[in-house]
Amino acid sequence: MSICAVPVEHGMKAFIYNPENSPAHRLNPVTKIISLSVVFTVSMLFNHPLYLGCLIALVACLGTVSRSLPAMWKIKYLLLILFLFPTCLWSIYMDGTPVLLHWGPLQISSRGLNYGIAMGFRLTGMLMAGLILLATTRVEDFTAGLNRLGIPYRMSFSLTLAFRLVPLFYDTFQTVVQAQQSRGFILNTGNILQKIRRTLPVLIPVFVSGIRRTDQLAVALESKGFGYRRERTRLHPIRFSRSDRLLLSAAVLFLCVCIILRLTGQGKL
Amino acid sequence: MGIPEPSRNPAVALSGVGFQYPLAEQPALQDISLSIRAGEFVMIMGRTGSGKTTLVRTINRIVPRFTKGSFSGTVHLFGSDIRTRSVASLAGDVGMVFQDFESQLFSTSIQLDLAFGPENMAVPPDRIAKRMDRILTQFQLTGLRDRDPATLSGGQKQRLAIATIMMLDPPVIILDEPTTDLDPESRDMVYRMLGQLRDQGRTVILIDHSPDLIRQADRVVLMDRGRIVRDATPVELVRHPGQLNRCGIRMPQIQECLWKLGLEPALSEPAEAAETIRKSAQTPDPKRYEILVARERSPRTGDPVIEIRDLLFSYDRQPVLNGIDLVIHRGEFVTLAGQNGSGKTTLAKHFNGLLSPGSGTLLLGGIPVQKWKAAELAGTVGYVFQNPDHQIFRPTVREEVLFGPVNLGLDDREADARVAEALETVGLTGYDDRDPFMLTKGESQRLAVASILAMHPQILILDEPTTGLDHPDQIRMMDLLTRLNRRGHTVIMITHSMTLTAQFADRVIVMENGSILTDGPVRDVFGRIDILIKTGLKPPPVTRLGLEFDMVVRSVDEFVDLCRPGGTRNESVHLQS
Repeated sequence: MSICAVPVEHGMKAFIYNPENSPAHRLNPVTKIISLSVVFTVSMLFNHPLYLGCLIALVACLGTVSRSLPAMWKIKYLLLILFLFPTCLWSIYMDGTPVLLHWGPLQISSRGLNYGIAMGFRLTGMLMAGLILLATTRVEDFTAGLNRLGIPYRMSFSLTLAFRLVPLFYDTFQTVVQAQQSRGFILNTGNILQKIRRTLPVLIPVFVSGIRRTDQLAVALESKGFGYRRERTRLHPIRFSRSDRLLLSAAVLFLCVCIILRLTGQGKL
Repeated sequence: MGIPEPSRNPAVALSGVGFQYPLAEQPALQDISLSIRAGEFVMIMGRTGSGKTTLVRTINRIVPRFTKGSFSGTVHLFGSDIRTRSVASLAGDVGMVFQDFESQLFSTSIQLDLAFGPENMAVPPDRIAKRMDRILTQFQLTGLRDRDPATLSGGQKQRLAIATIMMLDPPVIILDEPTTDLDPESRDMVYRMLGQLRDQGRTVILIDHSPDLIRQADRVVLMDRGRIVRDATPVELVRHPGQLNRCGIRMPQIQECLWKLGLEPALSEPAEAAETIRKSAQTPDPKRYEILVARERSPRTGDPVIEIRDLLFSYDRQPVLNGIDLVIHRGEFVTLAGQNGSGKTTLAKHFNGLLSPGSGTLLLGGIPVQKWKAAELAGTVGYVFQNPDHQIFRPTVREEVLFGPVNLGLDDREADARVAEALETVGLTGYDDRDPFMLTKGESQRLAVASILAMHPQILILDEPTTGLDHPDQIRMMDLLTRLNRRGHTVIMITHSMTLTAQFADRVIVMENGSILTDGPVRDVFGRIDILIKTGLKPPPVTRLGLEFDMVVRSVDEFVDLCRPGGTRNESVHLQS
């Protein structure tokens, strides 16, 4: 990810964006946003683990081509939890036959397990696809893409601001933890209730610093003419290339095929 | 936009400007009238809370557009009233650089940050590119255009922050304490750039606490409690040290020396000032200097408290500390100096176990730091972070200070006693029930020290405890640290301030690129001016004046004492209150 010569105490760091030059990096952000919504729609169409498994495989291939696997590896535990959590929950809570396993009051049915795996695939697949977009698209291009899709610039900027602020909040969080640690504070002790109470010494300063910083940011943005004109120019205008047209056609075709499959009753448990 | 033709209209004209924050008892600005000619370089000075920032923010309408309160009066830019303008619409007329450079950089590459302003103003891309090439060269950022701003050093970031504003080509540029967080070399560089902006015919308005800079200004505006109390040229200003002092501003060191010797405090460089002093036959006495040096106690007094051998530390596979060997003794007053990013904070965070050495040993009181229990460590080595905002979370000052002792597991009586004692030490007695979020910068900085002191640490580490404070608050902080040091605390202070280092520390450790470049008693290190300059540190002006006489002098009073035949101070011109 971002290369630092020294540990940067504060400041905006590349968060998920992976500065490479893969074919996916060169695509128009509009293409990527539309393709992402296609993946989202398709994953909502089906609830069969096989179909959603195929979708995840496709996303993983796109991840390889776009060199976003390192970004996914970074959040491997989150992905794993997102997969395991629905899988376990649905397996246990969904009644059905045949019953695969009995354990006291708990029973796991094959239908529940299949449905759980499908839901796990759905969540992880969507997150992975989202990650590809973020790993291959600069925040600025993301903003421009949303803007191009008709969302006013001010709103596009605010929507993508979160991605700019996350690394910053993370840095502040680390500093605050260290500052409180220096006052003899230990984050992880006591029961759950005490643990929640114990996050206050960290959460309050992070929150207060966050508010101060966003205030300063608003003033700094405005002082550089943010929102002065409805239309703004771009140093590097975003262009539609042949690969954009190709990918977009493929995505639309893919969506149509999936809708037809779904209408004919395929991909359902 | 750009620089307009000279006209009779002043660049900036405020008349009868007043402003009061909603809950404030006193107005932040009262009846301000100020006229600044196009092309002038004006410095605005005054203690924290005197209204400097509020004043400059009325010039691009941040006040009252972004700040609630009652505004009165008029502001004209080149003759036109700006009352109906928005902040964004003024971006091309008035550029504003804020103290916190981090919050002004929000793009993922330098070129995108530079392009942001002109893009907002719908400047065609080819013109943005052309302007960018020029600005990158001017601000010495060529070759960095694709870098992530977060990876730049502090000095580069501040240069970039100014550069992003210059991309809008504003005829008026305002800088609100632009160099507070910078090392001396980066600071000088920023000031050189300001000189260039003035030479281009731009109007420069600068808020800064550092009086040693006033010579480059055409005019200095002194503020006190929301009013302009003086508006004069730097030459006139230094003739009235009393007034500077009343406004919480230190006299520039060279001029203070001249003044205290009864000479004309001309705005001269050390070499010229030395010449003046020679002519007046008040040259410092070498014999007395020898006595002074001999009498100075040897700084390495007690037993070793921190011993470091061959410490290595890497971050993201990049070495940050390469082979540190260091011993700190009980009762020393040490400053850690060096450029932004030289590894000072990283090293200091090892002292209380916040960071663990990649390799090498770190003994604390003879015991490896890894073997210490977290609570014992916190009660032995206190670390005061730079920004008090990063630790304050309780509704009252008392509870805030109580947090540490409670974490140490002390009983109520003992903890309460320590809170009272700590508040008294830092001069915040009676603040017990105040809201810590409402304190001034100086007060919250001292609260941060109190919250550490209440844990009775033997070793006290402070990261930039005087940054952003005005002169009276800086002196209060340094007096506090000196008292604590005399009581037996080992004090380790990270700082950019060479003036404070020279005056207060026993020993200075200079770091460069993750190694210790030089380490020794303050007088020895400041005598090696070639090494200091190599790392971008510069001895304070009075030390440079002393070096003209082959003496390493630490403070104005010391220099003046060496010059006086009787060796006693003339109380009538004694400025420090």
